Amino acid sequence: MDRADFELLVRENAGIVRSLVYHILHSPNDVEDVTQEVFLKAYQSLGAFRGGSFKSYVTRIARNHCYDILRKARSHKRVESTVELDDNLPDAGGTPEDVIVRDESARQMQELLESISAVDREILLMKHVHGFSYDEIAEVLDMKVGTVRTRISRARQRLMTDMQRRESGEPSFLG
Amino acid sequence: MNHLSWDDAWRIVDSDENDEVIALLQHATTCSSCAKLLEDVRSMDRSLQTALSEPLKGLQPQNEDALWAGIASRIEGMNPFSEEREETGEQTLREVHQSRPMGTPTSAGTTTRRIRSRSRHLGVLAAGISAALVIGGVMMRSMSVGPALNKVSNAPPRLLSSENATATTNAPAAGLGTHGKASSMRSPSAQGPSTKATAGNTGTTKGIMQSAVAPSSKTASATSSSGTTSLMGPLAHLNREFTGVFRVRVVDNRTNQPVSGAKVFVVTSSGVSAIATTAQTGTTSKFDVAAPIDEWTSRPRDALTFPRDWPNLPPHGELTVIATKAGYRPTIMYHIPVGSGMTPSVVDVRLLPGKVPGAPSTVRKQRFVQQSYPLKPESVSSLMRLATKVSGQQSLAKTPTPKSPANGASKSKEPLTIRVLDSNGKPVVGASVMVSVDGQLQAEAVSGTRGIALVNTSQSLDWGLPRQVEQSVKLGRVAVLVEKPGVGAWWNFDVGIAKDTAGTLNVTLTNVNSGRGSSTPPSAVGEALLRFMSQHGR
Repeated sequence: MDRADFELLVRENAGIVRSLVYHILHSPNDVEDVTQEVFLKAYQSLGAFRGGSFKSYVTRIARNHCYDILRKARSHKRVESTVELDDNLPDAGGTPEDVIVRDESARQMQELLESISAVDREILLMKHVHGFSYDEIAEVLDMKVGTVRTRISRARQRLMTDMQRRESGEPSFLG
Repeated sequence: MNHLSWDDAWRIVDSDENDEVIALLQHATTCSSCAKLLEDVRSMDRSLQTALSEPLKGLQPQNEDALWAGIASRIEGMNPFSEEREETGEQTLREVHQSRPMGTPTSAGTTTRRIRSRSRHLGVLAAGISAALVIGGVMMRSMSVGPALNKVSNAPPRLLSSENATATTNAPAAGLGTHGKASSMRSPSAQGPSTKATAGNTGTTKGIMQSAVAPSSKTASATSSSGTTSLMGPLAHLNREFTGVFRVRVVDNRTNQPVSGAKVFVVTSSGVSAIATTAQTGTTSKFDVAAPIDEWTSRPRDALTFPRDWPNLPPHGELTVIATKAGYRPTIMYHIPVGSGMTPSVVDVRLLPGKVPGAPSTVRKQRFVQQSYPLKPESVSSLMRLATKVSGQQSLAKTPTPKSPANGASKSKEPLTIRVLDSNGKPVVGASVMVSVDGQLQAEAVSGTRGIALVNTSQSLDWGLPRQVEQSVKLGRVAVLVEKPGVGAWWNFDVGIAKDTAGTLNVTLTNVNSGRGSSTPPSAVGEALLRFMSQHGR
């Protein structure tokens, strides 16, 4: 693989790596640096890449690298997400009322996502935002595909239950 | 057909295309309750997508070009001693050197270095001509950029943010040469504006101040791979500039514990390249700096001094790191290699506490703790001045007021007043005044609008040396050096200070000898400092 090939891979997968780094580290200032480090690591260990999905390969490196950073920093304290939702949320069509409802549910979802485990959040990120297949997620997390399916299903179920509780005014798991 | 389950609905949304899912979808189109469930699931899917991807939009603009530029530059300057390489079993530079017979050139840049090495040993005449070219070129360059350098030499380092990183210019905080003339005379303009590579790293420059930062990654790749070889001959690589990425870790020398809140200055021959404060882990964020090649590794004499290492030593730049922390003595590390795969990923700086009970007095008298290489006297004063200017000393420890020494002498109560005038008798503003005792710089000040500098020797207590300074100053003989670039320099190695009163010292800066003190043109200040320190050094 020459540099041009690698550059192409970097450009294709930068978004995935950035978002994963952000969701694990919760440190916007570190995203670019860590993303660079992840691709450097990927470059250095290209010899260990046995083929398959480069997306899974680099995501796995990103995940391990982020947890290494957290481990070294001994700082697992989660920083509350301070990034507010953009006022101009993507318009998926519908009436203004639909848009407002959608925005509100997205905001609620952001809060509810904080209540699930970090791994589940990563799984949902890979699945819903970056379109990973179950097999690819399993490869990244070094889990069985069935386990991944179960975790995703449970996480969704929990989020839906919490959402419904909120809408009905019942206290959710968040309190 | 049965109604859709929760998982069935998600299988449809997840687009698991198979016959079963298609059948489920068909059912959902005919069954209202299943259609509602499917709609709920789709709505949740959209919410999840938005909720998970939206925070990323708050990040700095995602520029793939900048990201790739940063990665590419770091791949080029990849550190062969890094843990990652060792983990992956790649051969490090050191291993390459150890595994081959002495004198065998390295694989990278083999031809160039072999030619250069032979030229050094055989082509004395060629080297001389090239040296003349270098000196001539440097002199011409220094003449042309000299005034500009003087103008920018006092520009303070600026805080970088991701917004202004790309617009950062190279304004050295102090135009102090730390690595010899050739490198110190390099024009900062040789360093390009900051950069895609830097821009890629600015995310972590929180708390880092940089003034002369890395060149653009494109520049970096150009300089690190081929160099800007405007000069020809075996010394052509003196023009080159290397980039490196590293972080500094500051630890307590006694306890081996990380020191947080320590201030770290990265100095190249162009001045202060970056400033950062250590985190709880004792480490700084990563520095991305450019350093010109240092003549230490370039002069032919080194081929004779270090015949064994010389052929193996790839060209590299060098920089200096200073670490300060209240309660500790400032520490300098010299000759940290930059580029050519030699840059360490982490530079460890060990701080000694300001007071070490029972330590020998000679150790306690040292202002800076030296590491790795012998101190050059002129570098000591220059770097101290530099660190003082940049840190303003206010961050350093305030030591308690010292008691009177046992021998009955007391320190001067009044500050030493130095009035700096030019040859016309007009006050010189901004002249730098340094006071030395026993070859150690004790205090310094800058003359104000009336040309008056108050040198309060108690300032030096900030550096953690109360008793020694006090005892030295009260002896009554101190050395004073005054300089103002463009005006002149003045020093007197034997200024008397009366007990309890320091008095006033009038200094006239001219370019000719005057009175007991000597004046020198600004270009000779470095040599003057050298003599100054060597005559008064212990």
